[in-house]
This record gives sequence, C-alpha cells and structure tokens, in this order.
Amino acid sequence: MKHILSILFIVAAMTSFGQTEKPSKFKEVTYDVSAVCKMCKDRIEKELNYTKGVVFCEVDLAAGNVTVKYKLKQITGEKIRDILVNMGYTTDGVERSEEGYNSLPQCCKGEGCGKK
Amino acid sequence: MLWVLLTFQLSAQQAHEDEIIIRGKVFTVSDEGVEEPVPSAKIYWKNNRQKVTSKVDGTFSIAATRLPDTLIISSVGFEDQSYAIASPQEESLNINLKEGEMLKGVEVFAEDLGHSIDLMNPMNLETIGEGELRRAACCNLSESFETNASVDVNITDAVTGAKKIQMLGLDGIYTQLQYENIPLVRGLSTSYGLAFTPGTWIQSIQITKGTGSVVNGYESMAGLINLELKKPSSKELLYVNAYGNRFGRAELNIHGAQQINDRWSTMTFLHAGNVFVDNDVNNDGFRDIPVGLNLMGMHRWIFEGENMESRFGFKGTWADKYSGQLGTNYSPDESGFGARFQTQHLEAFAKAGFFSKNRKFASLGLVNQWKYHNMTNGIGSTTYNGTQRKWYSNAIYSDIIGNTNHTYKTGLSFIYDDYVEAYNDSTFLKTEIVPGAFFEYTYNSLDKFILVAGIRGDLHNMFGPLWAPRLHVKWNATPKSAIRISTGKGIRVPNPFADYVGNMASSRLWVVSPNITPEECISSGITFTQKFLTNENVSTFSIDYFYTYFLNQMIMDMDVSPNELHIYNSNAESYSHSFQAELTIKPFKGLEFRNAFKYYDVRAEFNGMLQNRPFVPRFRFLTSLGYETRNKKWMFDITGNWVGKKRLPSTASNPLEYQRELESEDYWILHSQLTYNFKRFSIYLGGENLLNVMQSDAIIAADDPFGSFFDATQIWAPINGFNIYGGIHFTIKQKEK
Repeated sequence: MKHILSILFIVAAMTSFGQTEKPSKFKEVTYDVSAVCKMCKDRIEKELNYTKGVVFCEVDLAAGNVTVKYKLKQITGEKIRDILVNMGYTTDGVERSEEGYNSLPQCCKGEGCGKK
Repeated sequence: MLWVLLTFQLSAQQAHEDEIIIRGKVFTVSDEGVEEPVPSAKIYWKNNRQKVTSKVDGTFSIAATRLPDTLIISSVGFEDQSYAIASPQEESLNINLKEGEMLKGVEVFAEDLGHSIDLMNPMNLETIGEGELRRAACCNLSESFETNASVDVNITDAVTGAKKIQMLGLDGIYTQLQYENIPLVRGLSTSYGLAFTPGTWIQSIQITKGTGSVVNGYESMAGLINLELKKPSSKELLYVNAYGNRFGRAELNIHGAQQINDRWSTMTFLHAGNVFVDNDVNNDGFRDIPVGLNLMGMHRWIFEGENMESRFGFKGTWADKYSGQLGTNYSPDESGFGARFQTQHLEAFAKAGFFSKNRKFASLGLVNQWKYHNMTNGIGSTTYNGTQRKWYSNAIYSDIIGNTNHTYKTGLSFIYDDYVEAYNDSTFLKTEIVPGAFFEYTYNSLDKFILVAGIRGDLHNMFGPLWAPRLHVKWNATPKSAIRISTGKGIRVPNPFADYVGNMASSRLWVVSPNITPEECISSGITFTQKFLTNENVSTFSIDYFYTYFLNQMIMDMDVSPNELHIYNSNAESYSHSFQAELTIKPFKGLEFRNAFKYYDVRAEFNGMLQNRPFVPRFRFLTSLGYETRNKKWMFDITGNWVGKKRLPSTASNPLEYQRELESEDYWILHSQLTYNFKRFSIYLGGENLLNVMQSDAIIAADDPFGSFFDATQIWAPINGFNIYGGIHFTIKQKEK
C-alpha cells in the first residue's frame, strides 16, 4: 500500500512539474456572444466543436457566453471570434456579420422561437 | 453603495387570439434621478424556453404561451427580478430594486436533460428524452427502459420472445400505453405491442406512476406511459439508422420530414427488422429468439393553422416470425415443436385542436382512431388466432372558470371494440361498446400548488356503469422540491388469452373462467422530489411509495398445478406496495451518475393462498454512469441492474428432473455503449448482458415438448447470454427558416 501511495505521489509530482515547466499548448477563452436560444447553442457548438484546433466549445445561454478551449498551434482566439461573427453573432463587442445574421433561423434572430 | 432603481412597465396585449404578448420597458433611475434605459437585459419565462433581450431603448416584448408563469428579468449589475404574471389582464406595474450585491447565475434553460423529473406537473411525470433513448440504442419500445428505474422489462417465455413491462411490480397489462394520447398497446396487441414501436420513432417517453388523468380513460392502474413520436419540427429531412447484432438481428430505420409550407408538414417512418440466424446459445434445442421479418411504417400529416391544429395519418405493421425447436418451420407434417407468429395491424388516426377566437383559454380537442389488428399464433399444438376492430373517439373541451387559477376539462369518449378470438377449437366473440363522459377540475395557485380532481363514468354494454374518480395534488414547498399525492380508481376489461399469449408456450392446460369481469383497483401514492445544484449542474433525488389495492382482479394462477394454468376473477386480497428511491448526481459537466433502489411487496391469492406474485423480485437496484465529453463527440454509458430473488411457481409434483427451485437466483445485468458523433452521423458500439448471465435449463422438459411437463414460461433471467451490437445514425437536417 505504501509503495502504491509513493508511486502515486511521484506520478502526481511529475505531472504537475511537467505542467508548470512547459508553456501550455491550450488556451481557454470565454466570449460574450449574442446567442439567444437552444437552436443557437446547437448551431454554435456543432460549428466550433468540428472546427480544427477546437478541443471543446460550450454555450451558456443564461450567461450569454461561449467557452472555447483550443490548441494554440492550430487556431487563434481571433479566428474563433471571426467564426462566431460570421455566423451572425455579435461577439465580444465585434458587430455580427449581416450576411450571417440574415441566414440565421427566425428563432436565433431573437424574434421568438415560433409559436409552440 | 450605489443604489439604482430599476423600473419595469409591463403591459399585456393580445397579438393573436391564442397568444399573449407581454410588453415592457427596462430602465434604471440613476443617482441624479434620470431615467436610463437598460439595453441587453435578459427577459425570460420560468417555465418556458422563450427568451428575449431588451432593445437599445430598453423595450421588449415576449410571448406568453401559458399563464400563470413567472417572468424573470436579469441584467449584469442588477439583481434578478422575477414577476409572477397570473393572467393577461395585468396593465402595468413599477418595481424598484437595488443594484445587485451578488450576481446569481440561475440555470433556467431547459436543456435536453435526457432523463428528468418535472417539478411543475401535477402528476409525477418522469421523462425519457432523446438523449437518454440514444444511451441504449436498441431497438424498440420494450428496450427503451433499460436505463430507467420505474419500468421493468421482462421476457415472458422462451418461445415467443415477447417482452412485457412491469410497473409497481404489476404486469404490463395494468399500465396504459399511448402515443400522443392515442391508445397504443391495447386489446389483442397487449403481448407483442411493445415490439411494434421502433425506438428511433420515439422523441420522448413520459412515465406517470399510479393512475393518470381521467381524460385518457379509466385504464391506467399501475401507470400511464405516453410516447411522443418525432415531428416534422425535428427538422430531420432524412434520417437513417442501421443496426446489427451478434444474434444476426439487423434493423433499418428511415424517416423523413417534409415542410410543405408554413402550415402543412408531413413525416414518414419506415422500419424493417429481421433476425436471419437461428440462435441456441443455451443448447436446449430451441431458438432463443424468434427468426423472421418485421415491417412497420407510418405516415402522418400535421396542419398548424391560426385557430386550428391537426395531425392525422396511418400506421401499419406486418410481422411473420418463426420460433420453437431448431430446424422446424411450423409445417403440419413436421414432428418437432414449431411456432409461428403472424401479425397484421393497420390503423388510421386523426387528431384536431380548435382554439376559440373569443375565449382565448378555451380549446376543443378531438382524437379518433380506427384500428384493425389480426394475429395468428401457433405454438406447438396450440393455436390462438384473433382479430380486433376498433374505433376510439375522445372529445375534450377545456376552458377557465373566471381566471386561469381555475380550469377544467370535460368531454365525451366512445370505444367500439370488436373481438373474434379462437383458442384451439373454441371461438370467442365479444363486442364492447363503451360511451363515457369525464370532468376534470384543476386549481392552480401560481404553479406552487396544483390540485386536479377528476371523475369519469363509462357505460359498458357488458358490465354496466363503471366509475373512476381520481385526485392529484402537487405542492412545491420550496422552489426546488415537489411533493405529490395521488389516488384514484383504475378499471380494465381483461382479455384472458390476449393478455397472456406468452404463457401458451407450455403444456399447461388452460382453465379459463367463462365469467371474466372487469378488474378494479385503487392506486395511491406519494412522491417527493428534490433538486439541488452540484457544481452548477442539476441533480435530483426522488423517493416514492405507491400502494395499489385490487377490488377485483383477474388472476393468472400457475400455482394450482404445474400442468395447469387457471384464469379467474377474484375478490380476495391482492395488493402491491412499491417503494423507490432514486438519486441522480451530475458531479461535473458531462457526467451523470444514477442510483435507484426498489422494493416491492406484491401479493395475491394464488391457489387459495396469499403469496408473493411470481416472477416479481422483492428488491432491485440500478446503477448507471453516463459520460459525455465536453465537445459532445464521445458518449459512454454503463448500466448495471441487480435483480433480486423472485418466487417461482411450485413444480414439486413433477418428476425429479423436471422440478425447479421455488425461488430464482439474484443476478446482475450489465449494459454498456460507446458512441462517437461525427458532424453528420454517429456510430455506436455496445454490449448487453456483459456478464453473460443465463438461466440454466430455462425450459422445463425441453427434451419432450409435447409431453405433459413441458413449460417454457418459467423464465426469470436472460436465456441467450451476452450480446454485442453496432450501428449508425445518419441525419440530414432541413435548412432552418
């Protein structure tokens, strides 16, 4: 038991050591985004999760933001923001692309998700 | 400390006849006393996904679909403000509030939680959503409850392969099954009906324990299960699912939705399933699973007009399956024990809802169903054939009494059910004509306290008047908890042969009483649900206890003798105590851990003696772990089910080699599935019964199937060992408008 514990400690120490030593390959950024509904959430997550370099993307509708973790070597934070802007969402104060906005479903334009 | 005043002016206005629009303006009063509009404030309903943001001048308008509801206004820097809106008469109001000291992130968006227990509904409604259904990919309705604790699924016998559900420890015949409030499994389809709804057609399943609403009829005794099928609004232009497993079972599902214009849309479902290979894993000479083809289809239209909505279509099933001993194909000249099951089912349904222009809370709903069901069963030397023709009609009018705190539903129903059944040489004819009326009153106090009291009376042409009163009460003591109490009477007209088709797979002599009368029970229950946040994820704890007491029950008695099966009505003591505790924790995003414990005490008089109902475990435990990576690409799921000991009917008078224990063994069933989602399609791989649990010598006297001791109905565990399966889902979404 003692051996197992000490091995665990060594492993833990090594991993934490490794992390502090190397500059992280990943970055996690939160963008304020003008997403309004479940459909927006699905659209954004589907788009970004299948964008090369993105580890994960999560939309928090209540907070009105998108959290994206990405690989620094493959994509930049600006590029991710541009994707959101081009989809038709005002992101971190950068005005949405009108073209993207016009192609959004009615619901995501903030006009109510149809009558249910 | 800066004090800011936030003022709302709300006014209600009616936009369409069936829709209420709440308009308002969000603004603050600064220290200097100047009014400043608040743009980008979030305005949403507590019980609705609808959400809007205030414009630059602070104004907003939001549609209300159901009142009363609570409107919540939140903006960074201010405390959340909630405002209860009971009725659309509200003119305007002013609320002063201060700058937020602590900003609470309230999780309000109803995501597809997969599995959820609602806090608002007066009935204890448990919902299995699409996410949850995908966790166990196979194959039809009977397999959709694998990760659910409230519904048990059992295989009835080793020949027909039919599966039946169990709720509150009571046979599936006591649970009313319907799809979108249209009867689903009823009459002759009771035994095989579950297999006739492919899993991919289902959008969600709602489970209510105990008696349901009187609007749906008198039949829910142990529970009510309603299915919502996929709708064109799911935007699936084309969906294809292919599945295959170790036992040579292959299935193909194709759906398509077409949005014709703003008002009309249609959806088509096709299913083909086949078991190509004979399986005899337990080496008893009998096929473990019937082989053969299953075809199903459904086509429906949806019309959504301004004051009227309608859904109509038709559904068909064709099945031809063989079972019994290996090498047999149920031909008259063969010597082996063959079995063949054929089903043809055709139904048309039409639903319509009308909304009044003048009375905005009034609506009229009409449900109609015409059904033809024909089945031919041959099991060894036993034959059982039946045809059912049915017309079902239900008209529901609902309105408010004064204000929305008091609402009612009332209406008329009509059932015409014509049965022609032939069991061996005997023919049975039965025509049931049942007109009925119902009234249900709902008192709703701001959704915190809801009382639903209903009564229905039906005049049965064979059994006279049948009365079913029911009461449901819900109270939210705190915003995150709910207590529900329900009590009511359930009635059911049994069909002795159709209800127990699976039990024909034995040499037992059927002794059926000629005077079968309706079964009646009183079912009462109490449920407590508490939700709590674990790292901002909603976790749920729920506990319930139900007591069902039969006033009259049709007993299927296998305890008289191992060579006989008696079916008769009994007024003797028969009850079910059911206790369930369930804890679902989401320790962090993507992980769900569920544990459920169940205790059943289900007894009735069998062979003149009060004893445990056979094949019902006293204890059951379910543990399930689901994990989804944060990018939603990988999904992993593992579910363990522990099934306790069950009482088995006595076989003591059989010769020694054909005797069985009086109690089954307890066992674990382990399922697991791994799914990977690509952008347009997903693939899955899974395993069932991974511990390879198998009931040994499941069939009594398998070596002598025409002898007097043969019995393939004493099944208490899987009979075919583990299963490995794989499949693919492929979706083309419609372009959203």
